[in-house]
Amino acid sequence: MQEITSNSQPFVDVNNVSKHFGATTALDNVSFSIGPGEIVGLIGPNGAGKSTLLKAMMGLLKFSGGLSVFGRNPMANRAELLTKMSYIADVASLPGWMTVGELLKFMADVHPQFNIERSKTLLKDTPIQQSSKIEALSKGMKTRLHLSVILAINTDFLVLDEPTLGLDVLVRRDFQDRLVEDYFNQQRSILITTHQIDEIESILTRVLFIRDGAITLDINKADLKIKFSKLLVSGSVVFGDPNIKPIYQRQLPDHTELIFEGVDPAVLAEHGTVVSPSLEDLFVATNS
Amino acid sequence: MTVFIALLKREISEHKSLWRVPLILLGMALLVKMSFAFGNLSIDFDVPDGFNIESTVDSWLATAIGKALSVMNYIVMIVMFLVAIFYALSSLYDERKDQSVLFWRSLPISDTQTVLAKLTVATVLVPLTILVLQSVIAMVFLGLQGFDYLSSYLVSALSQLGKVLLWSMLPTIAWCLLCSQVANKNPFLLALVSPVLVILMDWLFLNGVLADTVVINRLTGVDSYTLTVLVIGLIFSVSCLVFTVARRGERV
Repeated sequence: MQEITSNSQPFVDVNNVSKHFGATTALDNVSFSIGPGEIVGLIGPNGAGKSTLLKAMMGLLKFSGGLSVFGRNPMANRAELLTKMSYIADVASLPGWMTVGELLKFMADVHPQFNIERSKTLLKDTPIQQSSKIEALSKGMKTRLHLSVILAINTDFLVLDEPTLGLDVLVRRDFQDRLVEDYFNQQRSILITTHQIDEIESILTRVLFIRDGAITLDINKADLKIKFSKLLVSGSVVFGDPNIKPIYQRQLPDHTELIFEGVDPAVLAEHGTVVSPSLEDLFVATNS
Repeated sequence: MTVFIALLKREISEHKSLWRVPLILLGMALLVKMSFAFGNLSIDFDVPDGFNIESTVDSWLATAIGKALSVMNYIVMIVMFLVAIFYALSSLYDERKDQSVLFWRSLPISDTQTVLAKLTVATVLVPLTILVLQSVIAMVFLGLQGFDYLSSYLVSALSQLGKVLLWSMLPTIAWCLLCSQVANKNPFLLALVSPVLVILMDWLFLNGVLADTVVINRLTGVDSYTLTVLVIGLIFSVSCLVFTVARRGERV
């Protein structure tokens, strides 16, 4: 019985959450929920409200509206909720004075869900030694270590705040691969915030665009290709049907890009080449 | 409990002065003892009858060692209290400066637990270190006689240390932890400047009543251990700690 209730309950339920800092609105009636089996990208420019939303979810910030994480108010249950969800606020935040071995021992002592054997297994393929001081590791290795520690925590929900900021492409790609291979399954979910869309596009199952504190688009990646299409034409194009109107148009040196919402790709194909738009295209299209 | 012990261990391995300074003090005591040992050698020489002033020399030495021991005990206490103060001032500030606070706060450990662990290090572990270190030094200085010395010394030291702790150390450490949490640039300056301002304002406008009883007494050692001073100190300490925990919760 317990099992059924916990399965049907969303990990996060955000219901009309608003947050004002003086006259500025950081969050404006935001609503969404995240259940198991999703990798959600919370995507928006700097200052869009991503961090504010995460802080509210983590119980670090007061807000108005309803927000529950695992059915609980994060403000009142921060420490307890962190046994059920893992969180990387910043990959450059591991204490440099510790050795890797000390860190793992500490985690095993303080975190009831931490599996030290698993973390050692995850670190086995890396050049990271148990005796290394964390501050002596390269930035990429610190990230790898942090991720290995977090992935060894047996929780169903992982929250990452700008996890790949400032990392080179190899480390970034490895980070994503580890998430998908070592963590993700149908019982678990990941929420990632970023302002660099192209970085994480490939691993997401769902996209939330946020801008000026409001969610401007909430769509599954699978539905995205059905709902949106991108048409490449050379020269100008005239549609007979007045209902067919691009939501975004971009003039490039050798062709024109047009983004359509809810238009049959077959109709568009008569005018040029139809491709599926990238998240970046959509972000620009839905936010301008 | 495992969590709390892990937190204490973390503090000790992060703030190395907590165990390095006692080792240095012990080394210092050994040096002092060695200088006495060389002095002892000369007394072992055979002194011709009639010139035998052995008993006088012995008592003189005993007093000198006794005096050196008292001085060492005092130095140990003062230095370790300074270690505790600097530890409290840097502990929460360093976490924020090196960003590791983001990691610590991503773990299922409440801010209250963390702050209490830091308070425990400064107000329980440091005084315990003082007693242990003083005992070791007494044994080094006096040898087996050290047991006699310690049996009387520790009783008085416990009550003396207890008083200093409750009346002076606790408010000071609580204040330092608060400054460590709220300071933007320099917790040391913040912790120092505001009491100095209070003292100045007080001397100018209140004839120093407040400063003498509340601020200076805490640092120079309270001369009258009255209940009022204790209660004020405890209320002050608790407010500082509550505020520290609240502020740590607000920072991200």
